[in-house]
Amino acid sequence: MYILPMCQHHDQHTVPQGVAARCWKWCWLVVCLFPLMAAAAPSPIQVPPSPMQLLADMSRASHQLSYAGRFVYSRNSHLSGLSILHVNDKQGIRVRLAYLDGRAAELLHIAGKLFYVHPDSKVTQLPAGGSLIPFTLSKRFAQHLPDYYQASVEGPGRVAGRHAWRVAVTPTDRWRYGYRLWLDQDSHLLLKSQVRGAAGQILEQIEFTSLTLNPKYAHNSFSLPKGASVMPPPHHVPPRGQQPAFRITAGWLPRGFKRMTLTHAVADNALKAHTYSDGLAAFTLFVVPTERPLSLGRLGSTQVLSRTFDLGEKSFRVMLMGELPVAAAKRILAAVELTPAP
Amino acid sequence: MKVDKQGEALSALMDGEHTELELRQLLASLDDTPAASWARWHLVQDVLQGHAASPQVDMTFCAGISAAIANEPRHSQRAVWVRSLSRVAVAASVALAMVAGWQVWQLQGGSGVASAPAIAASGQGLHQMAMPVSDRLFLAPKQALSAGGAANEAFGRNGAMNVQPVSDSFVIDADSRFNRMMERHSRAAANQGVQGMMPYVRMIDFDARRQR
Repeated sequence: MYILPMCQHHDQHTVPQGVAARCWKWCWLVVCLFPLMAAAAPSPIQVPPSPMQLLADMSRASHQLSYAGRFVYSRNSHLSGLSILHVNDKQGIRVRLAYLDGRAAELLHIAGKLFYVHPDSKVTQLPAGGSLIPFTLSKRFAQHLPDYYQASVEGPGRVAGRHAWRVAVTPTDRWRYGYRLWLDQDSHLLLKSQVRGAAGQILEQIEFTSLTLNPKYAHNSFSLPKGASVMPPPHHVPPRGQQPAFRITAGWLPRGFKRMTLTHAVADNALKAHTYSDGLAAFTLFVVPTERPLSLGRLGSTQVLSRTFDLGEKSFRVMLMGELPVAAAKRILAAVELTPAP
Repeated sequence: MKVDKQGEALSALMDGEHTELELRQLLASLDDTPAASWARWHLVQDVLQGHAASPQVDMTFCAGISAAIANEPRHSQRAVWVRSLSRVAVAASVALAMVAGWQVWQLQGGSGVASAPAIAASGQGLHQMAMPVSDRLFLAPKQALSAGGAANEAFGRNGAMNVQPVSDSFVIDADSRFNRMMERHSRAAANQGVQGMMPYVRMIDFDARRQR
């Protein structure tokens, strides 16, 4: 049977498009939108450098770059706001670290000298040698980490709106803390750091809320308060006849800790002070009279313990102050020996 | 005569002897009369050829189909711009998925680079230690306390293990001596490049809080 194409009333123009034509149209649309999506996509995942390279870059960037930022410092559930202005220009490196909460206090690094403007507006010149860059490792760690620490890159992160690499510095024994550092992917500056205990608890933390590279600053940003008299660095050495008649020795130290040689004197009315460091952590042993009790406990990552020694008719208290787990602090203090001086 | 010409054209069409032009002209000029002739001629042909038992298509078949289509409820038609926007959205999703997939593929070894866990482990080794939390008071044996021998005995009792227990609370008193110790310790640590500004941050925070 031949059916005449009598259905001529239908719209003969709505001939369906071929499948191939539709596919081509979709492909062109996807190809045209691909560059837009690639540009709008989050920062492409990059392969991070090695952890030691990142840490070295962090130290170098912290010294060489000019930057300004505000960060929050927390320990013992207490938060404080601080700001830092680090400038490296023709006049050299100048740094201003300001405490923004409560009574104002700040540290100024000018022309190789370090000044501390106390909350009561007195100014003390501190011994030179200190650094006001956000974070650095000891020169001992310049090439490689000793075997009592391990460094690794845990992955990307984001702090203060900036993409970062998360670096873990993990101890290999129970005698020291671990650290987590967030380093800016572009500048390698520190954005966030945490000191962590053995159970992973955060003992102390700083986190930048804003960071600006090559900031503009006022010409008087690094000036001392007007009219302030600068007290010289403390340099108290007891007269010969009053030298302490004892010697303090650390009978046991965690692996890697060495006594640090300092040219400046101890704080007054602490008769002896020895500082030890493994390049990343440090503690100091003070010998003080026992007339008055001292604050003891843990402040953030800083342990403060004391032990009493009887030497003849006198009693002395050996204080340990340092960023160590309490188990390490107790064992160190328990092994301290107080012997008469030769 | 027009009717005669139409009849001739129909006849040629039945016999398959029409040209394309004749077909178009015929379709353009068709009305009910030649359609009825067409139906009768085909019925005769079917009878002569023995196809009479096959079902017959009614003349009003196409009209009925058209009417049925016209009577169907009209589906909501989206505006043209909505259809275009949906196409763009679908294409954008496909493009975004391609970009994300490419990034993940590159990270997971498509370009020969180690994956994220391997990066952390390469070179340095990812070391995850579950260190026991020990807060017990460490008591050294008495022998260690008197390791100085006669010298220690000459100084009398060398103190019991008076390592005061440590708590998380910290009482900050107004003892300036303690503050100076904190400053001394911070300076010493900073002097050796330990943790950069952190020792000073601790010092300044302690001092500022103490003087509030």
